[in-house]
Amino acid sequence: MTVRKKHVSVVDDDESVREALPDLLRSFGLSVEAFASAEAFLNSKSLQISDGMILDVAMPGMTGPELQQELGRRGLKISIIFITAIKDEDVRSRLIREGASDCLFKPFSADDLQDALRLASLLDE
Amino acid sequence: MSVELVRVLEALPGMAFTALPNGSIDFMNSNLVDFLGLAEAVTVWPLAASHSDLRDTREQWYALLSGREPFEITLPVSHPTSALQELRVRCKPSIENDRVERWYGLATEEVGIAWRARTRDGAAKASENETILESIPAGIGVLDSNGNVEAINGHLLQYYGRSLAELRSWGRSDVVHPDDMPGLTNAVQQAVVEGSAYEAEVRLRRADGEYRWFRIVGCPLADESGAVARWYALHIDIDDRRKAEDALRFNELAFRNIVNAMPVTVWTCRPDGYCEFVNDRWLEYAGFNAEQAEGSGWESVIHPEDAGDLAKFWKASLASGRPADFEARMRGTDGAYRWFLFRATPLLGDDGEVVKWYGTHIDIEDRKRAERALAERERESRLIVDGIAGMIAIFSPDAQLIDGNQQILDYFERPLSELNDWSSNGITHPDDLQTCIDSFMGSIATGEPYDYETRFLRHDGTWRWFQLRGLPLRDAEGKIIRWYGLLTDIDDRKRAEEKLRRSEAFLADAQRLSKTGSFLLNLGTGEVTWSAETYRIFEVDPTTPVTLDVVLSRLDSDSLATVEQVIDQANSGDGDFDYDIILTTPSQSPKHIRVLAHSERNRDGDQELIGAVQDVTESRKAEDALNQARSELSYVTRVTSLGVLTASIAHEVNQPLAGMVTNAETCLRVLASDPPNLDIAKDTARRTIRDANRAAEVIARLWNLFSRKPPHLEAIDINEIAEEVIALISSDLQHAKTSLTTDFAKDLPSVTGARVQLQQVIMNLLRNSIEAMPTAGDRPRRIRLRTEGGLGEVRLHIEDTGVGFAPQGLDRIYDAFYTTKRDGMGIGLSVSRSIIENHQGRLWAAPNADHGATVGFSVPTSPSGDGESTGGSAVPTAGDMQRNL
Repeated sequence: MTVRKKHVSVVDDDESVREALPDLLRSFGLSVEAFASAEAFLNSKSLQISDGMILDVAMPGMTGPELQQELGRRGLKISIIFITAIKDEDVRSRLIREGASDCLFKPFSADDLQDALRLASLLDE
Repeated sequence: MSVELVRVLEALPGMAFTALPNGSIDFMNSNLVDFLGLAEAVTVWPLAASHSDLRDTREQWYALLSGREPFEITLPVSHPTSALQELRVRCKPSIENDRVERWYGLATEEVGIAWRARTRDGAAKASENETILESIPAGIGVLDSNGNVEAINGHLLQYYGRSLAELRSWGRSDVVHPDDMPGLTNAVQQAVVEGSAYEAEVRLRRADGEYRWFRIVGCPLADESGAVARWYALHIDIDDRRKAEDALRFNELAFRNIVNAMPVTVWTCRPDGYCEFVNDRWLEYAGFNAEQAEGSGWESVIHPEDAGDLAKFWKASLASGRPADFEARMRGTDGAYRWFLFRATPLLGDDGEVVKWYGTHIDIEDRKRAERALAERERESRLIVDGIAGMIAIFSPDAQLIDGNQQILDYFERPLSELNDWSSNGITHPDDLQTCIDSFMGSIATGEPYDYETRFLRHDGTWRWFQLRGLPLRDAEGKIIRWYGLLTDIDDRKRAEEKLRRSEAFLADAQRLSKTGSFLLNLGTGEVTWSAETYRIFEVDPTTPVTLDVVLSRLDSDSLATVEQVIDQANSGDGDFDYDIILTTPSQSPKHIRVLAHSERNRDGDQELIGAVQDVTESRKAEDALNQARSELSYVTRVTSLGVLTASIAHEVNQPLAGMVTNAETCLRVLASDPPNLDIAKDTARRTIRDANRAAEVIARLWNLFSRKPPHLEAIDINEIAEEVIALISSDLQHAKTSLTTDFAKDLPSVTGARVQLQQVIMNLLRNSIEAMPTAGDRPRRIRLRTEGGLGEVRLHIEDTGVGFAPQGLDRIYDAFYTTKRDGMGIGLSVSRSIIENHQGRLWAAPNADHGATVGFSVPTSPSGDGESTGGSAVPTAGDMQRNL
């Protein structure tokens, strides 16, 4: 039986994250594509094929939570793991309450990321 | 009988009568009545014969009168003095309508024997002469051509009671009064010589020895040859007349004496004005004699100035015949003129014509002098009144204006009659009118002097202030006869007073508003003078006299020591003082007072301390409040800055850290895989190094921004520092979901300034724009940052689509704490402005046409246009900036 690789989109305005994260995610056996902004993601093919998202909270233009709302409005059920450079537990709990799978504070470890991916059913146990 | 006939009969120089046919005598003239010794005329002859003769005579009288032929009859009559008792009567009838209407008769004395003897020798003609002589009821003497007595009629003989012979030698007898003899003999001798008539008035001796005055008129009678044959000398008894004349002469003399004795001058004039008489008094005064004064001689003493008028008046009086008074000066013997009243009264005859003018001169010099003196006094008074530098009004006791000086007329340029209506004609200011009426009429009613002020309308239409003072003038009995009012123009003084009052009011206001009072302490006398504000500051009742003790009692112990020290120093000499004291007032908390004072010697030689006290309690409180606000603000700022800094650091450092961690983990994972992916491991290792360097850069930038080094002046590229700020603020932009676009001008010249400060300004402006973004709605949330050069400066604009600010906000946006944001701190803009101004630049803000606002600043370009600045005079030094910040 052939199991299709899960497709994960990375949306972050920070170049370091966009460069580093896809290689790590691929090492987990995931298919990855990175976008510099929410708008770029919405205009891409990945919108339809993504199983999950690593989404930066604060971005110029449409922010992470706004994109989350937009996806909900479009009826697209994509698991979202937020990442943010500002450590704010209130923001984290609010985001999870509103449907996010998890929220990681930068910098985060590979293990934390793996746990979050598993939680989002993007990685097997 | 007609009056005319009576008059004729009375005028006859003899005895005449008339009788009726019935024998009654109906008229006797007075000569006849006198001769008969009767009191009045009688109707029958008073016969003096025996009874039988009487009857015969009477019967004969009646018989003759009943006939119609003229007749003569001798009637024996009774005569009181004469020895002759016979009256020869001749009558002729007056026949009318053939009937005797009346008889006219003449009576003569029957002539004596001597006359008869003489006439017996005369011719018939002589006989008739004799008859005539005898019939004339006056004495007649006849003189021959040599003047010797030839005959004397019975009447005269009877008077003398002497014989003709005796009388022939009259020149040697006493029949003529010795005093009169020479005159008479001379007159007769002259008449004889000249053959002329003669006339004399002499006294002749009557038979009883009494001399009586006679007028003797001798008329010559010429014969056929023309030579004088004789003189008939008529002797007329004029004794009564002479006596009357003498009496009159005496009376007149007496009158003249009286007149001359009178203490006034008296004069008489003829109806034509010819002066007949002036009394001695006048002659003495004028030094004239009577002849000099007569006619118009008196006129020469009249003063030349009065002569014309006097002549005119006198002429008019003469023409009208009415009494008249004139006044004129007459010259006395001493050459001085005196005033006289000429009073002329006419004496009128029965026909109403002026017979004579009587007049007096009354000396009125004293009166005139008094009048002149009075006039002079009045003139002087008038001069004084007109000369007074004020307006004078004179009122009657019933408040009527009766006079005023020239000044009052000049001021109003209205006649007195109009000024009297001052209460109704608009010359009194309406606002003052009631005061005027009350004060003035009040004084009129009570007699108390008045003193009040009012405005009067000058002729040119301006109102001026006057002080009106009035005093009543009373007569000896205390009754008010006049009110004298002085109107003094006090307009200038009033204005000065008003100015002073206003200036004092200003000062008082200024003192009150600035809470600054003034004081004067006379150290010699201990006298203290305070301004109203000082009373207020010390909380002392302004009616209380202030003493040094009152001042000292209000001070706390430290202040008391300070003040005592000041007073000691002030006592010892001049100097300036500036010190603070604290007042313990009864009402409230202590007052902080600042005192500025100066001591010097006054004109009386006393040392004085003069100065100002300012209540600085409020400003102290405000200062404290401000200090507290400052510290609070700095805390808030610090907290805010820390928050921002923390967020910035977190964001800026976490991003590269996140990259590093991820890269390192990826590296480990790809190396651990089988086979290891060395290419990716290399990539991740390189990216790790790059991210670490990025993190180090962030730290270095933050260090620059927040280090406490003094501002470093350098050549700055505005585009570059703007980019750095944008990098720092990007998290805020993201957080506020606001996009920022930049439009940097190329080849922008550099400016000289403090890098970090200018970055702070850009940061502030950007943050304000972010915070001004609308919280809801469809409006885009955009910021556009633009730079441009030119005109020797570099400009940076930040345009936003925020809420902007209301137009009135434009003026206030730099005020500290002004903000359109409910929870914002507006302090940023004012700080930014001071930074830009320290860079010789400008900061501005303006609302956009549609939404939001544009703020920006300009900074002059460096003089050299590039490179490091050495800090010339045109640019601020680091030190300047630090101070100004």
